[in-house]
Amino acid sequence: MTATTSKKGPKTGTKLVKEAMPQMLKGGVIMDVVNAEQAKIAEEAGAVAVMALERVPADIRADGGVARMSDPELISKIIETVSIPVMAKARIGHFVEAQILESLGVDCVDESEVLTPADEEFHIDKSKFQIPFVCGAKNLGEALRRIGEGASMMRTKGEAGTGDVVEAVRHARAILGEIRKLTALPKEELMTYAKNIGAPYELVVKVATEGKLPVVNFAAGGIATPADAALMMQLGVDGVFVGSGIFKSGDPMKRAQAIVKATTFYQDPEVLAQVSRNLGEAMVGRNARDLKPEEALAKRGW
Amino acid sequence: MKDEIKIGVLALQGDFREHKHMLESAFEQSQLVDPSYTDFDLVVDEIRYAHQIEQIDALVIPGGESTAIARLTDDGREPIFSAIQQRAALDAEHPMPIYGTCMGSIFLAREIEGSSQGRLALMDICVRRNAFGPQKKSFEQEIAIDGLTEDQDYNAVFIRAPMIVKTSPEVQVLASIEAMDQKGICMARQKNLLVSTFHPELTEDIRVHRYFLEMVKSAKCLASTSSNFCRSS
Repeated sequence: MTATTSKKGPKTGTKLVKEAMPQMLKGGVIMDVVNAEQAKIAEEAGAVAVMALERVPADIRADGGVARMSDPELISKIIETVSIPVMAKARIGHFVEAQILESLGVDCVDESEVLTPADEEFHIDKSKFQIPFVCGAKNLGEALRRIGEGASMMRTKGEAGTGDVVEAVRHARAILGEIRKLTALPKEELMTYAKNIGAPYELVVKVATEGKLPVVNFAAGGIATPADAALMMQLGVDGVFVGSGIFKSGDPMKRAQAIVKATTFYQDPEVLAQVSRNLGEAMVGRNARDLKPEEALAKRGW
Repeated sequence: MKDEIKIGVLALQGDFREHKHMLESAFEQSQLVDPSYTDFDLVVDEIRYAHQIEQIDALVIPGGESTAIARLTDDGREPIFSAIQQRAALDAEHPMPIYGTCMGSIFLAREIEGSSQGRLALMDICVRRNAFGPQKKSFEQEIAIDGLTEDQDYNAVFIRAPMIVKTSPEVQVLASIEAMDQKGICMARQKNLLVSTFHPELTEDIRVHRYFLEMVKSAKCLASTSSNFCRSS
């Protein structure tokens, strides 16, 4: 599990190698899939990666109960079916699920609040693994804590399984807005800033200097239409995750292709209008504001 | 007005901003050490539409997911591939220089092992996609590059990387790689076309981008009426 350090041979699992993989996904769409057939559709539609899981967030919400890592058999089938990277979700703090996913050969683990947390105090030590992790965040402090633990990619949490983009917008604005403010602070204020948001000081200094997160930052949680994807891109994220939005809609292939195009041509309203036509029914959706407090997934993560 | 070289970076998907940044850094460095680079300016543009191809002197195809990009270019309304093919064909009068990294090398290849996916098919190489395995077999390794690494090896980053498994005699092999029980070519050039299966844009090492700039400058010298591109250091 630890990074190889021999001098001349290939070095695997280094910080550079782990952070480079998400770089290749930028400007793309990562789609939730629950079986090999859906994975094939996602790949053909132009997804840059798929997220393998047993139930999409909308169904996890509807069914209730404990949501866990998917069956390894299902994940292996998806890996065999597509040539694009395959990601899979592990519960927050469940480092053994993450070990299993790594051994299966997934390309990236999502330590996800969409599954039922296995630890209500600690996240996984992601620096120990050979493969990159993506984690969700609502604000800059949370993002930098996850990066401090070794996450190689971030995403907004949004509210998965609602089809309501409002929480993803809130989280993207919070993270990107805090970064903009941070770049204007004088150096002597950075330590107290780090203390106040609960983030590692070194990472706060890095963000203040560079004006961006040190890793790739996607939007996730409630994106259901091409316009939603383009909105998130214009707000300044590097790409989008679409969960329930595609395979809970009337015409998954068409909608998937449309969201892919919208993510590339996010600044071109003519293309956006074109791809948004006749997409069939969007997922029904749930107003994120109407969720009971215990139903809000974004609160999970510490 | 000062002359100008315009390089496009294909910005449909992938790490195109990193290439833009590297080209700009490489140009600044070249200006410092080579006075012939002070006779003109460099502009780097993001390319998303076919009509932009006419306006550039050279093109970079970044790393990304080849199946996703194929989808973004082959729906008939954005004939960006044919625009690139016309400008960069090996037998064109002044073929446009192209540098493809990783996915870019897949797109330039005439042949992709076991795949019929959309591609430019400009360069006489055969590429094996994802030659080393999943992400846990991605790696960095010091390699030697012909003509670029006499002083110091080059730390190359391979991410779910392809490999060049076959070339025609016209293709010049610039670097090879042996890792993860696989062995093959990782950097090559044929006339105006340059490919690497690794990612110089993710490091601080500008040597490969400087090499490409030199290719672009020579091509511009042949194609332009201005002599400002024809001085050498």
